[in-house]
Amino acid sequence: MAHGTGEARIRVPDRIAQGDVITVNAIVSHPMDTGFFRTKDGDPIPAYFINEVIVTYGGDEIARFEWTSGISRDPVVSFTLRADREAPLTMSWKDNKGGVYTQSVNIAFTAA
Amino acid sequence: MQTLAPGVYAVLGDTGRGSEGRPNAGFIVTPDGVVVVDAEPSPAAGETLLRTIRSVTRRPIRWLVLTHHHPDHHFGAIVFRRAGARVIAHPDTRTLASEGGPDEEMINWIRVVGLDAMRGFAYADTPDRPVTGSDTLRLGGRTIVILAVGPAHTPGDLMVWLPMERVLFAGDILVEDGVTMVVDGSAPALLRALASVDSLGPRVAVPGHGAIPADAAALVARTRDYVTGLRAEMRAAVEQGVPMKRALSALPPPDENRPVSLNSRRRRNAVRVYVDEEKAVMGLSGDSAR
Repeated sequence: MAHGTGEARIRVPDRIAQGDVITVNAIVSHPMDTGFFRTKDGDPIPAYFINEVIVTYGGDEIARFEWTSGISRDPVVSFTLRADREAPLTMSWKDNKGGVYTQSVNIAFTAA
Repeated sequence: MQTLAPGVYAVLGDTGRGSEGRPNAGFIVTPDGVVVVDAEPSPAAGETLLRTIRSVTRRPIRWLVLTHHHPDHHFGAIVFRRAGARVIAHPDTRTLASEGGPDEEMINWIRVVGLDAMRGFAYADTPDRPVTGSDTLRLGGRTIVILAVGPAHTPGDLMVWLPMERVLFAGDILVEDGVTMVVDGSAPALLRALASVDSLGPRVAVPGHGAIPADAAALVARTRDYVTGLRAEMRAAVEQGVPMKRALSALPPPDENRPVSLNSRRRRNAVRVYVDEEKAVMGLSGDSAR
């Protein structure tokens, strides 16, 4: 059985100035089983995958992704964000078995 | 067939075709019986290997050692089990080829070797004597060391080392062209496995596929240079935010329907290493599937 499922990281640039368009990279540890594979004994491995990712920035929902099983395990998602205010960026990954995994980073500005 | 030391033989597959060629096998003859290393890709090819062994000795086949659980190395295993051999292998049989389950793996492999070659097939790679660390087999005055080095090429990698003769059967840790696949294993473990080969200092190292190198250390060095170079390249790309597609754009495209051609191996390895480096840079500790 998978270990570490739901462990998540969000990566943003070390230095951010107000108004920068930054790239956010995020990863979550998840088996993303398609339901098409079998164990070596021939038993089917049921589908088990993240189907929704929600991104909030300072409490506002700024993005929502709908995923299918056709995404690799330990999936990475990248998107750009205009860093217009200092606020937490929070991501939630939800899977088809009811698992919810959440991670946050604080968007804070460094002196230019 | 090539004699590597008195009573130690390599049975070479194809040369010049890298991982796509028929794999190498080997055998060790002792007064108390024979130890076979790898089983060929089908029962028919296994029978051919058995006949080759029988041209040298009538002694009983005691053990079959499988260097890993890819079909091209173990689908002839049933022949040796029926001839009385017990199987030494790593208990972790998972590979990408077996992800769809045993029946699908078998059907896919029939497309590769043909139905005729597969007559009489049954899986025979589950070990009677599992090795997950190291194990020393003593038979008829010979010392045969089995070393688990995965997950380098696969989770179930074993190497066979004859310390007296200084002969190493490296399995697919080594391939003649220096491009060992890591998509089923991992680049860091492959580097550790290569360091093990160096520390053994073999006089002869039999790669999983292709010609036996004149200089074993040179093939190890070439393989290491390839893997360390690829890791550095992918690490730099990830750190600079270069997306995977662009990080791979310098590589030739993979060859269609040839999953282990040189171009396909280089491309598939690069994808795997990029993903691993991405996880490392993001600080993710584990791999959810392993």
